[in-house]
Amino acid sequence: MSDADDWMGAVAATALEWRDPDHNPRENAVKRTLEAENTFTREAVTFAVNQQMSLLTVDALRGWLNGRRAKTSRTVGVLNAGNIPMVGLQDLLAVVLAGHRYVGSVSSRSPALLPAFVKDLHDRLPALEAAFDAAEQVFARSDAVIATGSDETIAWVQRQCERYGIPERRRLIRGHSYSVAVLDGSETEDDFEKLAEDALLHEGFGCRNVALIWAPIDMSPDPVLDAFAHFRGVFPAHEGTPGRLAMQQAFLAAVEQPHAYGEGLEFLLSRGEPEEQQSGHVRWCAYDAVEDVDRWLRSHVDEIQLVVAGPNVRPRLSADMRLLPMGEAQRPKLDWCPDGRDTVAFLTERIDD
Amino acid sequence: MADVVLSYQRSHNPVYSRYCTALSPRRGSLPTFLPVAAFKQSRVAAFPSGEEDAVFESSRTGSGVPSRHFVRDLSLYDAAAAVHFEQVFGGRPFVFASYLPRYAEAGEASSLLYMVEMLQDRFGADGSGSVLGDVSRLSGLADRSRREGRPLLVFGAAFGLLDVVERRTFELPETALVIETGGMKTHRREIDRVELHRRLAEGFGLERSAIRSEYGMCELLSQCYTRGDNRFVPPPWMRTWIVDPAAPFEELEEGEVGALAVLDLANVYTASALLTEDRAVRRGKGFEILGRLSGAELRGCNFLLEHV
Repeated sequence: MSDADDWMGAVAATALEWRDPDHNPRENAVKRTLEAENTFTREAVTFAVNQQMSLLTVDALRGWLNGRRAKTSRTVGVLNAGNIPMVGLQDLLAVVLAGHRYVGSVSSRSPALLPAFVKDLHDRLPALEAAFDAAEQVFARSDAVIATGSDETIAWVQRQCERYGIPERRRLIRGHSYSVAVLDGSETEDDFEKLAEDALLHEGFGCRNVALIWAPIDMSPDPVLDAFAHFRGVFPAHEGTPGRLAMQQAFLAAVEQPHAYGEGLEFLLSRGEPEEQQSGHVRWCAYDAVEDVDRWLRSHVDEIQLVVAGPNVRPRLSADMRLLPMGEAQRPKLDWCPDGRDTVAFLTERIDD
Repeated sequence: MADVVLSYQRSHNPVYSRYCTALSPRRGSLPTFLPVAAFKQSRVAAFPSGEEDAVFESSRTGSGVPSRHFVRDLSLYDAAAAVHFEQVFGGRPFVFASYLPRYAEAGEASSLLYMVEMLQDRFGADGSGSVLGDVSRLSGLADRSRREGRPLLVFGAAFGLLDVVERRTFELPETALVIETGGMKTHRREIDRVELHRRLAEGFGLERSAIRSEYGMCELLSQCYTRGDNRFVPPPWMRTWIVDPAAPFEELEEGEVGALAVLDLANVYTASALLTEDRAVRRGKGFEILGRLSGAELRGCNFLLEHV
């Protein structure tokens, strides 16, 4: 058995323990996460942890890494956004399994989950080199950087990289994005339930959240609204969501834009131009022909993380749009490439010179 | 006074009225701020259609739909702009040069172009005017400033001025002031204000403190200016707050980054309490603009918000 196999085995064993909601480190980390200032609900945190842990089997890890390993071990800094629970786990695993040292910054919105997982992993793998530090310190300690953010964030990250002499080829910078659904009217009730998860889980804060739904011009949004309401019965909105949506709904009322919302403002859907709204506010856009939607998608490819659509629609959309069936937006596979960029390739090829 | 104006607008401005009704009961102690995007989608006015003196349009950024500001009384705009300008820069005649590429193309629809021409008429000595199309005229105006002992004032679009100094440099008189405005939100290049001012100071041969900024927008009839640093100070009839863009009901602490919210009493005939789309931070009695709020910040993907 190689070192890499040992490490993958340790990750899988740690993940297996973490599948148990009563596993002490997980329980404590979840508790601390829910106490932090964020938009997470217990249900959403549970979903995120379970979903991520379910992926971490030795076979899946082996398939993902596919024997790739850096020739030279470096320190890789990762700035974790903290907008959804456990975000950044894939980067963490990619860094350490590629053979690098990890130094990450965690957001005050999600300060506990990644460090707790790393601590458990470290207990099994004393050779693991993974630490957490303040964002500024991450640059000072790193040979390479992975970060996600808005244009201004990116500008700041680039300046920090210049300051600390991290060359461009050792920067993996992902821009802001959102996700889109394309309907054709043939969807079933089950599809709409899945779409509700794609759109509303994590209060719409993830880049994988569907923020915009394209639908045929004569299609009623009622079944989607019913599914949204049903979803909220299982995944109640965060207590801050109605407050955040209040201003959005008031604005729509002020400018007399058609919209609908759930009881207690647990979700908000508006008809209008294909423009991303604030988190939790989903935009419904009408189309005449799928080809028009495809053209729009292609012209916005840089800002779209993924597109969910049914089996009738997907073949009619450009393949490079990262197409997924409905219900998979919040369930990324281990080998998912955020922004279409392969993190492991970055860690084993691009920075490895 | 503010309460009277807001009450008047709630009664006479249907857009603001519907907005306040939907948000009632009022949360927190701040005015109810209408997002400036309303100017893109509706006629935001507290007076009947057709009674406006002018309609100003913003540049077509983002969605490509411009904001439209229906101005009932242009003399109010003139007064707000001129009085505050005089408070900040003094009323002496300046050798006044303007450089507003792109805005000039918008013609009458540009509130900035209108304002600068108005200020030029009021505060400019004979021979003042636009140097668009022939920036070399600036050297002549600089000589004239030295000869006549009148300060030179250059009012221009930020990136227009940057383009100018990238092509050639000037030695403006040490009494000269350069006021940059606007353009940062429309230009492709990413540059922060400190760097912009450094390059302008270098390009015009001036001290960094001679480079000033104006903060204004099509939707507002009042302006704010910096006074040698990066802090914008509003006129006495305007108040500003830094708020959470998603829930602008309470003021954030000094130093916390959020959205700029304003109460501009000069907007008496439209909407005075507005939530802008600018990222800002409070600095004493003024504020510093950090850029535009992005979709990432609104959706929470931006880790930097808590690190600035």
